[in-house]
Amino acid sequence: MTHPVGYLMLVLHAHLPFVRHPEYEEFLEEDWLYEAMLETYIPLLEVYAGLERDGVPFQITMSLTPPLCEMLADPLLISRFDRHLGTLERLTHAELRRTRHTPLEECARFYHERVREARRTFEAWGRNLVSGFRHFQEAGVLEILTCSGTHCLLPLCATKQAARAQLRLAVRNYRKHFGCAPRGIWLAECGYGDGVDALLHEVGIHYFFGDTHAVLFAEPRPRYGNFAPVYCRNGVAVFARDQESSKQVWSADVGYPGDPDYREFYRDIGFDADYDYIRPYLHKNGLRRNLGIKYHRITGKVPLHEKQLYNPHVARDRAAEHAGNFMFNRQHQARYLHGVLGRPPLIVAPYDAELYGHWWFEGPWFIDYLFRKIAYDQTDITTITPTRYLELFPVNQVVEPCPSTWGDKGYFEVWLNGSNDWIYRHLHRGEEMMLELARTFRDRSPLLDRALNQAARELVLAQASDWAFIMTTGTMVPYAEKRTRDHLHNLYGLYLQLKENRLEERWLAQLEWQNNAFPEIDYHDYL
Amino acid sequence: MKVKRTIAWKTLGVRMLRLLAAKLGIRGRSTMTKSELVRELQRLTRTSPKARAQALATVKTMASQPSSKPAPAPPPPPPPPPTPEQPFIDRGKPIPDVYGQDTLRLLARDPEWIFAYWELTPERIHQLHSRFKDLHDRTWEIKLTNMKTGEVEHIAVFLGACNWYLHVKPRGVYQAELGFRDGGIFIKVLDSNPVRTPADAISERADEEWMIMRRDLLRMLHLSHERELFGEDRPLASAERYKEVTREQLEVLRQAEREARALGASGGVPSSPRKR
Repeated sequence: MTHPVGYLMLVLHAHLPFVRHPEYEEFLEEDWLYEAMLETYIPLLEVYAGLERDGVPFQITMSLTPPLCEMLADPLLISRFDRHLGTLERLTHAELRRTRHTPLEECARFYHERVREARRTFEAWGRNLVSGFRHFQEAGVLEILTCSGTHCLLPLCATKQAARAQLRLAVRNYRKHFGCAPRGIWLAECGYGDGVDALLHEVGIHYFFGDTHAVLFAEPRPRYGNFAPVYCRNGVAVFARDQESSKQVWSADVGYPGDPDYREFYRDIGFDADYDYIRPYLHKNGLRRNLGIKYHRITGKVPLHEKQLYNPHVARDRAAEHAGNFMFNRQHQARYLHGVLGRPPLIVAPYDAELYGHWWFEGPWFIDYLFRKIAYDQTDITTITPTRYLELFPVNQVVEPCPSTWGDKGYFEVWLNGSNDWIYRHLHRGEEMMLELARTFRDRSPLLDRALNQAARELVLAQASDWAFIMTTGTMVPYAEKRTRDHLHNLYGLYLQLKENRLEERWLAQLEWQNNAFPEIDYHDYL
Repeated sequence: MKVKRTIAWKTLGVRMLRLLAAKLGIRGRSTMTKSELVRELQRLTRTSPKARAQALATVKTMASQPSSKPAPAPPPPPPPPPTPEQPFIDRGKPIPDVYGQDTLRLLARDPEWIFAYWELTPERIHQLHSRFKDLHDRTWEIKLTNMKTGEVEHIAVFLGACNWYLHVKPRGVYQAELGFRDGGIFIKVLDSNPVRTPADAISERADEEWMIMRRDLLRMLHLSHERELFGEDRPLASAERYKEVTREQLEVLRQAEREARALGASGGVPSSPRKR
């Protein structure tokens, strides 16, 4: 085997906060999950299956966070996704009739077939998409990372114990879903801070991902910049993001997803169609919502009503072109860097998984073409996973990484600013309450153990970085505030009841029913 | 140790800066940007002690008005009652405003800013009242120490804000004390945790250290370890597969040796961090 000039590590970070509301028959935020399943996770599984079927060699890395795994494997949410899919099956069928002999007809047929295909994939994996991803990990083409528990931004925790408890929960959850221990982790928001590496080492994790400057601004200066991993002093490896390949996909101006031929996200039949026609496919409250059937393309910088019709075949060709361009640029980058560094560079290209398919509809096609082209059209670059890379290149520089995130401006401002800084005093007090409860009431009785575990569950759910992020972005803010306050309220309630020796078992049972994630949670982690 | 009283200019809003500029008679202030205002004010207060005293006094009076908080924590708004015009928006169940614990905590936001929040219990205030008069009329300050350089800064804060953004330097280790002045002497009331601010540029240190992980070394040396090579659930591998893996592993070992040699490590590959 000839050695490649460089390596490409494609990393998709799949995550959604825990949005499960059994107390309501329908809940708008649960749609996040169904949309991501239909538009991202199922299409990705279809891409992997196609590559496997055709014997295309490829290596990809994905994080599947504990809350996402819990939701994908949850019977209630699975049955609700089934219902969602059923609605779309009826709608796409009705669309075939409505659009007959109109310019929309071909596109309607495309959606009809697509929803049927999604149904086949969903059923093929036993209605549990986690088992699909697990299959590809066991087949050796996909390496699955865990995440910092509920997507907790560890450097903003007040206590080491609370941060460690999130990691222990993540490891246990990973074992449950994937049958082995995780080797690597995606730190929520690429959030690294002092001491995080020590906690990772403690729970047996070998590597994590950081933003470019986590390594570039490290002490001492990294010999290979961000084009080779580095070790922290305890041997935990750090892989850093490549700016150039990120920009080509992420950038709103120069990124591929903005191409005029690609599908326009903001023209959805849920908002465009006649109300009486679309009413049966909406929630019971009758509010218009995205249904994922979109007939228009981006067209250019024009108002929404001037968007032209979408043609999936043209868009698919464009995705192939973009995959070719991406590969070409990586080849050049690798050759150039190889010359400068004298070692095959590693180009780490991480993205939010939901970008592919949900936001950038053609993204999964792009990935499909990219792997096929890399396998057959060139020999300069090879795709690789972190574990395989560290096997090939076990000697690496030792540095102290720089605290950082992949958020706007590169540090913690997105999660710590005037719109959300009020949450930290409550979250930190929550950590202290949890530590005190675990110390005081450990191993007293099965009922108290249940209460302590539920308190831990409420704390970790409140600690998800998603809530602070939503408060910054300014859309759906009341929901983020509600989730933060509700979980903290529940934790505080349990704290007072335990301290005052008046635990209400019925209330506890209701909380367990409502927030049922992570049955494996263990309050002993807070000792 | 250097001790100075400063105004954290960058934490102030543009309106406040303009007001200060007006007090000190800076011309062209209405068309200046925030950074221009800061530059002018800094220049003037550095050169003129009188202007400096006036600015400090203005900041102090403004700071006692809640509107001048740089980043006030939005008080948890009570859920509005449902009315036909305005649908009920659920912002969550109530949580405590205070926890009855004296706290001062720092969080590093980026290379230049630290977020501080605090809670001062009525008991503590009461205790202080017995020793010091007019507690609320005093200038409360955060004394911020850069533990790396020993540099100390005093920043006037509004006690009731319960949080403040502090302007700092990259790669510093900071610790704060919240307190007030009594006859020119700083009286400490609360202590904070230490925080390190991140770097904002490539390090000037270029001394390199390289290592190989012990687990990789062991894996490479114990090629016959079936479980390690083939996983626990796989049946005993065929001779073909075994040879293939062995070849791969030897190639890995050679590669590692080449790398280690190229990087100046001589002899066996070290299993712990090793200085070049």
